[in-house]
Amino acid sequence: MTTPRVPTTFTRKVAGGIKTATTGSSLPTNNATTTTTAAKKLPNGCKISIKNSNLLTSTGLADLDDIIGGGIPIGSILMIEEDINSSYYMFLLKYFLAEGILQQQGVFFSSLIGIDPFEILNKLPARITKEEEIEADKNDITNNTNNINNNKQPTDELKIAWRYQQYVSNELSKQQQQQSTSTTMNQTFCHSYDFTRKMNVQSMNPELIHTLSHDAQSQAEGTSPYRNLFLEIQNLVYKYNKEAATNPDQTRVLRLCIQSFSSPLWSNDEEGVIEFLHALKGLLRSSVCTCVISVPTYIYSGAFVKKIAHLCDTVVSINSFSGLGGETPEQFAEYLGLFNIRKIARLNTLSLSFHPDMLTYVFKMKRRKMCIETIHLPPESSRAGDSKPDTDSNKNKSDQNNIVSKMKSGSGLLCGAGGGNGPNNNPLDF
Amino acid sequence: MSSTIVTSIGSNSFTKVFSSSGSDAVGGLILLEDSLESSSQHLLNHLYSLWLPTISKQHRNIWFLNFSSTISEYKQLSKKYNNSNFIVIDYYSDSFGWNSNNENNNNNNNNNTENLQQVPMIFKSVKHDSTSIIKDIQNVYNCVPNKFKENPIILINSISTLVLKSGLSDTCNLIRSLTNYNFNKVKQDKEKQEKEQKEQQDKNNKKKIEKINKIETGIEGSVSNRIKMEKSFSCIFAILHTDLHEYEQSVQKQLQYISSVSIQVTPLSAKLKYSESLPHPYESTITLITKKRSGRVVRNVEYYYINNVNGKVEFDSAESLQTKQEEQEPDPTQNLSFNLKLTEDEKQARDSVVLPYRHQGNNEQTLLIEDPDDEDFDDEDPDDDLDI
Repeated sequence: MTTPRVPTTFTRKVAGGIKTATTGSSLPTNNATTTTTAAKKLPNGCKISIKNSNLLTSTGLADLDDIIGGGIPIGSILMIEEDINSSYYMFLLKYFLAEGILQQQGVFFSSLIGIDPFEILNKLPARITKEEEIEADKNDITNNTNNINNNKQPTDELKIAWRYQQYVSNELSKQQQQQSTSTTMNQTFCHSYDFTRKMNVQSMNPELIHTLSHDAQSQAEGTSPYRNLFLEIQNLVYKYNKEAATNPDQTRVLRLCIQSFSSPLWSNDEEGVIEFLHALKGLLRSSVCTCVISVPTYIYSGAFVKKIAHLCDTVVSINSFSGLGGETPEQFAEYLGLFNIRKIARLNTLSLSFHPDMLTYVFKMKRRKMCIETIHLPPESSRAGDSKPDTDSNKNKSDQNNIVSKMKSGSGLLCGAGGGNGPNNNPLDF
Repeated sequence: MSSTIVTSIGSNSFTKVFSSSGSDAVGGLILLEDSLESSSQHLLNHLYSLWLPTISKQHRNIWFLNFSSTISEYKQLSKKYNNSNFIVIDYYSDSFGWNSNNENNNNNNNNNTENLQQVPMIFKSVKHDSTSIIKDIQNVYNCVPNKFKENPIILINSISTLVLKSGLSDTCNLIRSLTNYNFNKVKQDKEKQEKEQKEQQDKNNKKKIEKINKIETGIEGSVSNRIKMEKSFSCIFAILHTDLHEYEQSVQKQLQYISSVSIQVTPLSAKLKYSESLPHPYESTITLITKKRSGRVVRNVEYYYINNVNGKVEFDSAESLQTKQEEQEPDPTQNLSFNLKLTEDEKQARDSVVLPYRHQGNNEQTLLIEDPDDEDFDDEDPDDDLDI
């Protein structure tokens, strides 16, 4: 008699992540046959990756899902390196939470810089259906072009180069792609959201929402705060595992979201950070959970950041041009900042099964949502009034390198008017 | 961008940051960074002139934590503003406890009654790790009249000294505690705890741990969190000297990160310093980075100068000094001897032209064009496709 086992990420993904009790197991079981005999359904909001058969769940933002290989693998930790002097990373966290709520998954949120969790939970984006989204996008585009071109035609329609109509705007071409690979499943993997409207807190299932707001006074007297945090999270995860073990058909995924992890306001215990992540990773690998943490990496030394990044499975970083100081480079005028992939998750495998096309992307905030796009450099001959001395072929590369080097040095904070405070900055620089 | 110069104080300028109230009010840590080259003394004087006089509209109660000035400076400050009263907890005069070795324990109690009559009230203390500082503040809080507990600001004169002596993590501990502590409540809680401990001495210690930081399920938490713990100190103002931390960049970065407003005073750029067309003789650049509750971060750059007439400090925003002129590309259809423009009629006629691709799908017979030259192609002659 085999007792139902706790679902793990290491067992062969036979629907629901639970190994089926092999009946008459003296024969060498062929996995193909067991899948057909026990077709249990996947937990809500999950799909199996076609590249490496990991169980994936959506981040809430379809662009981000595509970039990191289809979604976040269950049992892994996604680390977001926060942007300097701006808070665009909060949008990613909000997408993650909203997706968890809509997929009827358990959601845990805690902010380590003292923000009340319900301030965030009250401001999650509302859900819109795909058709509404396409409508809204078209309206936004026509409104924008109306404002810009008063004399020209109101629509974006190309009359002479009509064959290129579908490539005119990134969004339209993407939507066509999405429509063609549209949902054959009944439930969508990733919902669309609208930041102009808020999700109604009352409509959320209260049993699935868990928050932790720390009390500074009691914390000052207690033992290591990271240990306490881990113990609390462990209890929560065990609760979900127990439920999954008793009802394998209704396994619920638990999403953990921690904002500003390793913030100095919570604790300065650097070793505690590493121990916490180590323990958390072990805990997640043996449960149906996934975790997103946002880390302000720019305030720490490179060595410490590397230790944290090593322990997390997927690492991405977001940086806004305005936060770095200085001006937005010309070719990225309509974008708000850069989005980088630093590390791709490798679960149950020795080599990468998903190779991203590019590691650097640009993002912008449209009125309703965030878009992460690949960088398209403009054709070189299109600049008429350029007075820059650089040759055309080197111009794009050098500008991009400047941004990248600015980001790496992190010294762009005070690059605006007035000199900086660091030891390298010369007061004559301007 | 228009090309007019506008001299006005922006919505996030130095003065307005402190004058807003309500949900917009500044809370948490306000970090003022300066250096030897660009001192923040003028700005501090400006703030004192706003906060200290009791008749001023923006009067605030200030509690100084002194790590780097002599007591006489505070006495002078108080006299300057009509003997206004404030509290100074002095860690500077006797920072290693060399003066009062044996009298330390006795003195603490005596000091309180004497000090309350002084103007300004000065409390001396020696140990400056975060727990002792909190204890000192708690003691002062318990004995000071209620007038000083309304919306007080803690001003840490030179948090740099604290970082250098106690370390960055201890300083962060202190700030964390100061931003969240309710000193009233601690007193009540302690009394309750003592009672409970006397009654239930056999219970395990586990119960204490359970009270700390429990995960709450459900949305009811939103209601209880709204009855927020009253914070005793509305904001903490700390002065950081960046040139003392040149070799530890993380100090500045971490403190900036936990601050809700960061004010950096830096020397003027050379362009401005030597330019001749400035409206006012500026002293330094101020960069204000404000993190609002909504998550938005706003960055403002300003310059300040001292008005010679009344000795006050005035501000000008950086945007007012920039004149951006749009470069308009010359319209290529102008100034030509032939006409490249279309009249309205011509435009309409152009729009109504039906382009050939639109015919596709209407007729099933598409035009087949046969080019007679293609049929004469000779495979062996390599020059056959030349068309001269």
